[in-house]
Amino acid sequence: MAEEEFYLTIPCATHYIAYMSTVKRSIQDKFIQELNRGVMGLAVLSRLQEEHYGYSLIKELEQEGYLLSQDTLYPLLRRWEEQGVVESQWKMEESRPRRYYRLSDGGLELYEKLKSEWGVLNTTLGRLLK
Amino acid sequence: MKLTADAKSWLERYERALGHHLPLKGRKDIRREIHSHLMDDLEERYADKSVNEEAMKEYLQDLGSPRRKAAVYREETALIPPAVFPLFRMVAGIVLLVLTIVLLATQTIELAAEGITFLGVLKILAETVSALVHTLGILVIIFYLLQKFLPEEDWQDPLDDEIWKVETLPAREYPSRVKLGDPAAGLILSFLAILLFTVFSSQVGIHQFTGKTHSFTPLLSPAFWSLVPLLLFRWGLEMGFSILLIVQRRWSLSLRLGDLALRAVSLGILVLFLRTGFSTLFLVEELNGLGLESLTSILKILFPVLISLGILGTVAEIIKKAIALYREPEGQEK
Repeated sequence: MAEEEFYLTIPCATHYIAYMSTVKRSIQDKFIQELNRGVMGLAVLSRLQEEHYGYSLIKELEQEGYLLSQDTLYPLLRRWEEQGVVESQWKMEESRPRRYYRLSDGGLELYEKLKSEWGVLNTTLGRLLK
Repeated sequence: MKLTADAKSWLERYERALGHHLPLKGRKDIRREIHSHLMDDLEERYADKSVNEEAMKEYLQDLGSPRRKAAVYREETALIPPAVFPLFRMVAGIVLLVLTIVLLATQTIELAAEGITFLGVLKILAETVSALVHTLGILVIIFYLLQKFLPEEDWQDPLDDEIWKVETLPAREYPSRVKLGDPAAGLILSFLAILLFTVFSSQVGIHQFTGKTHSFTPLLSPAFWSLVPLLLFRWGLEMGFSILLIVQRRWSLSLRLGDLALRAVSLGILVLFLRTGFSTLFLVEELNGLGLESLTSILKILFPVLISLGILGTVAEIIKKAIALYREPEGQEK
């Protein structure tokens, strides 16, 4: 009887721990994803005071340590353009046309507002996370 | 970086497939931008090298399926958006609850009258489930169309706009005070009805007193008397429920559901009466024999009208009570 319990318990416990660790990881991933999503807009806006095409924007953010995928950036820029946050124009460079984006006046105003909100939030969180 | 003809062809195939899944609006523009991005990326990866067929296939494989890549350009849509969902849930809850009660009550009593069989029960359950699924589907379509064609600003969460005053918060949790008049009347009337149809059942009819002579004409047919046990059951339930209300003094969720069930039984009985008909339930010949032909012909017309009104009233009452289940208790408790 005791032997049976041993064989039944050990694999279950191992599976349970493995399962729980996967669940824990997925919850952590979701939290990190949400955190990143919250600041992504501000990060991209910060680079768009100067004109950028998508690829150069991704590379510049990457150099600063902020990773952003193409699949996230381009739909975001399109949405912002519809909302009037950014303006874009196609330019012919190095034998290939590229679409350049830049903050509109409204986008610049939005960026300043968000930057100031971020400052307050950052100070508050800094105190909370001490 | 230089692309071989084969590599270029594979890239074109990928972009063509991707373009196929892109939204129509801005498709050409998006495709052009993606091409520009991919060329920049390839240039950085392969710099001075040449990209052959194999390298391109490997690169495209790593990019992921064109359908998935195109999907990020599509706006997230929902049949019922979050802002509309609370209202949908409330409406669907009330409609489905009322429908379940009405269907189960009418069909069960009909089945009881015809004779209960296993297949009959199964048929009622299947029909009820089918009707509920249909109704839910129709509600989803209605709400989808409403949110699609009504301006977005009209679809704020209705709870956001609710005007409320802190003073209206009830002092106690869900149960609210029972008005004693209703259960008391219910108790007395049900008791009298039971008494009439049990102890004095032989006296139910038309009594005529002419001078010192008394004549009695029965009014109700055997078909009516076959339904009397059902009526007694309903009145018995009413008495029990009224006593419970008087003792408890406060409405609770289970009492409210019990009240709904009682009304459902009434609805079923009314439907049964309507289906059976005046001429079957009452001894028309006997009434005519008393010279009451004109009254009989009026009653023949009035009976279905009155029963139909009763059915409508009961359904309205069930709807009202079901809606009340979703409402906040009213006012302050005293």
